[in-house]
Parts: sequence; structure tokens; C-alpha cells
Amino acid sequence: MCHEIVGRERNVQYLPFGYELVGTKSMLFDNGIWKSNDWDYTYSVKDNGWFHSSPKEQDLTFRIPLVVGTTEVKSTCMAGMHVASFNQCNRLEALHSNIMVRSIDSLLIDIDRAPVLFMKDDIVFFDGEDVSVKAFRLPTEYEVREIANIAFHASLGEETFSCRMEDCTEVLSDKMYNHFCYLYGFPYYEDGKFFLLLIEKR
Amino acid sequence: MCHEILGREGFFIRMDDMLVGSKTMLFCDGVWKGSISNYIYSISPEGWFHDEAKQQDLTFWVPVDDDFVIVESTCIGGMHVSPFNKCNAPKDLRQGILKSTGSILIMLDYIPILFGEDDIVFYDGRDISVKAFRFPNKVEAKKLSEKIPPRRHLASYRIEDPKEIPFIEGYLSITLRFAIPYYEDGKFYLLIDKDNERRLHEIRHDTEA
Repeated sequence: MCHEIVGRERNVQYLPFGYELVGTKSMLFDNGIWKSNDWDYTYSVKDNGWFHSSPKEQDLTFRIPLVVGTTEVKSTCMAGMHVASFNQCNRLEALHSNIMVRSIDSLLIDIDRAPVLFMKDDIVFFDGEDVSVKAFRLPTEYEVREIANIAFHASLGEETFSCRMEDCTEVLSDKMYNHFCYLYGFPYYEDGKFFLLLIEKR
Repeated sequence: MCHEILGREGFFIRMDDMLVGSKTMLFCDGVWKGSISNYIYSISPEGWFHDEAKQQDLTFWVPVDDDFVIVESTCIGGMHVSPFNKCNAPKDLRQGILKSTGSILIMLDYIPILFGEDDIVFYDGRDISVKAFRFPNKVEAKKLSEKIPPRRHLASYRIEDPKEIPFIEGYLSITLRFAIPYYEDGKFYLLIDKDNERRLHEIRHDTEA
């Protein structure tokens, strides 16, 4: 006997990109340290830019459909860092902004639905929507432009500019309002440094 | 972080403090077996079918660009129980298939079986894996039969003595019949719908005419 977990929604998918797959992830860049967007988890990042973590036991909830409603059964599974799929709601044109920069005391960059790349062999669990992986990476500048075109239907031409994440408050000083700034863009990793590719939205 | 597995197909039924799903099984020469493999079920004196949870294959069908990437993994699984769906929902179901051959083999298709939430070891969005399940008792079987369009002429037959069961000799000795197995006082029975039997007889006569 064997079980199969199949994607549960139409129009929800990951993207093939060379030998890798692309999904989306929401993360915080908190004073130079990458954290999960609930602040609970600090990512380990290798020198080559790969975020990595060994699989660990995680909570797993079975939501079993009944004639009316569902019943919940709690369990556990071996899982890793979650990566979400692309769907109709997280395409760029549906977002007002996906990056928030805050410069009170220290720098905080809240990035929503950043495209991340992972290998098929890095998948440790799939719940029908999110995959769990033991490693993922941010794209390079070239890759992020390609992915933006494919996944977000964003044509990135002359309307973009890049800035190092650590320096973004200086670059964005004219856009900051009360120490906050809301933008469109994607993080990328190039030559050992993290950048933001930002889009001047019309 | 946590994962959630949501239902993608079908539904289970709550009956008192138990859940009801469906299962296809064989009763062959006094032994309960799986419908595909030669798996033989262990049954406790109380009528519970039970097995330890074991490592099973688990396949992730990850949707990629209108296709799938298949990732093989494992999970701790048990005996599979299927949900009811539009095709085998109790209200629509011709609930059992009995097959009669020389050595008497009874195949029960989509029969309702009961299990507790504590028995669930895995759920893949369709099938549940359990470490124990049981047939309904007579009262529960009749209650389940009420979920199916009016069944006025239900009759019970001991499953261990299939000669008592009024098989209809049909094509390849297969007869289709509404049936719910139940367990009462240490014995297995079939609750059979005699209306269904009559209807099948009528269909056969029409065909022959």
C-alpha cells in the first residue's frame, strides 16, 4: 500500500527553471539577518547563498472532510523550510506592494512572496500546497528578471533599479515616509551580497 | 512551522463518536483479505481489524507548470480507508458486490467501516490510514442502510455460511447486490437488500425475453 499527496488546487503550481524549481517565500531581513516572517526562525545561509536546514519533526494537521464540516487530527512529519507555490493571487499585478522597508533604530525589510529556487532532491514534504525543503536560494539578478517575466508577468526594463539590502535606506531616502517605505521588487543574490531589484511602478 | 493536509476528494461520515469510511475487501474461504494484495487481516475477538502502523511509500505529486514532478518518500501508514464520493455516496450506492464462484469468494465493494479518530495514522487528502477499524454492528448497519434510498426488505445472512446467501446466478456467476457486512456476537453477517434482488431478477427476465 502507498499514499499519494496530489496538489489540491488548480492554478497552483511551481515553476520549472533549468534544473531547479521556483516557488515563493515570505521572509524578513532584520538588521542583516534573514528570519522567518513570524520572527520565530533564523535562517542559516551558506557562503554560496544557499539557505539550508536539516529536516526536523513538525506539526502536521489532517483536515478530514465530513458530510458537514471537517474534523482535525494532529500528527507530525519530517519537514523543512516551507516554500509556497505560485497562484493567481500572488502574481505581481495583484499586489499593491510586496516589500516593506522600515528604518526605525535598525533596518527591517519585510519581503512578501519572494521567488526562491530549490532542487527536486531538496523536497522533504508536500502537503498539497506548500513544499518543505532542506535548501533553497535566492535567484541571481539575471534569474530574477527571467522569473519576474514568467511568474509575475512583469516586464522589467528601464523602470528598475537595484540596491544592496544593507544600504537601501540611503538609496530610498526620498521614498521613506515616517521611516517606512512600501515597494515592489524582488531580492536577489550576486557576488556574495544580497540586493533588491526594485520596480518603479507607474 | 507546520503542514496541513486538506481533503481534495470525497467525505467521511460521523456516526456517534466514530467516523465511517468505505473499504473494498474479500472474504475468501473464511479469511478476510485485501482486495488487491494477498494481505490477510488480523481480527481481534471483539471484531476489530487491526495492524501496526508501518513505513509505506509516499509519493508527492508536486504541480509544476501544468504537469507534475514526482518525489518519492515514505510515511508511517496503516490500513487504507477510502472516503465516500459522488459515485459511492451512501445515498447513491449499490453498496456491495458479491461474487460467487466454485469455492465461494465474496467481494465486498465500498462497504462502510468504522474507526476512531485516535486510530488515524495518516491522511493523504483522499485515503485515511488507520491502525484499526471494525464493521458496524446490526443496529449501526441498519442505521447506515437508511442513508441509502428506501430499503424495506433487508435480510441478514451469516457470512461464514455463504450457502445461505441467495446468490443470483448471473453472467460469470457475479451478482450485484446491496449489502452491508456487520459483526454481532462474534459472527460476521451480511445485511442484504432484497428489493435490489427483485429488481435484478426483473432485469434478467427482461433480458432473457
